[in-house]
Amino acid sequence: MIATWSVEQLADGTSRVIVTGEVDLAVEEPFVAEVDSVAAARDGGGAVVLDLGGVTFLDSSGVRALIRLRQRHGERLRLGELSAPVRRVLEITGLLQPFGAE
Amino acid sequence: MDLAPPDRDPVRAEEGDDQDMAVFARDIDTVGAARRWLAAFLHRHQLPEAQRQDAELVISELVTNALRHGLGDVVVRTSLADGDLLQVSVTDSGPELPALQPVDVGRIGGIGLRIVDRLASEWGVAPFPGGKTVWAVIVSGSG
Repeated sequence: MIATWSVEQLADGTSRVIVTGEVDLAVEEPFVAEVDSVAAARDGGGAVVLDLGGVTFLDSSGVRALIRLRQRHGERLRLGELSAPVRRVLEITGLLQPFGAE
Repeated sequence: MDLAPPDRDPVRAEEGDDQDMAVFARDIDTVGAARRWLAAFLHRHQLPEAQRQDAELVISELVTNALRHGLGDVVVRTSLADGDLLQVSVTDSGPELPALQPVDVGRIGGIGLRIVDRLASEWGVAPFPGGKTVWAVIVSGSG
């Protein structure tokens, strides 16, 4: 149902945020806050990869979260795996290329 | 982290053969609750998976707009005509009318309506004294 996430710290300094479930208005703020704190914990170093392969639903609130995080953290913030629903919404909103997803 | 709020029940709901309506309180969880309410209708009518996914995305966007920009309770309606012509509408008491904005990657507002515009075969806004209804038609394979 509603999204849950976990954070993995990789040996190379990358932080991986693994998200599953549904990302909508109820999730936007807590998710942005969580990724902000993950990025802050590495204090300017290390990529933060959002693994969205387990996201079953994402709407414009999820897109807003991604845009806000990208604006704050720039190239440090990357997209990892994308589920079909996420990929579709990013395509519709023209964000697949700007986020460097393949 | 697990947010897992209790799923929100509508304040009121009515179920017909080919149309349902429900009233939801203004709450951040209403987007998901309205989506699940619509999913039950779509399931009952055994609509194709692609049309269901589009419809769930559209109602999420319309309810999100009603919560971000509207006022009062959120009234959702859905109906099915000719077997596969699905209509969803969301009514609130706010005077602000949604309008499609020019595409500008990186701008935060207007994303939801752009998604609706892509997924719906038609959509529109019906203002009335004291509020407005935003409606959309999702046909099978319109995407």
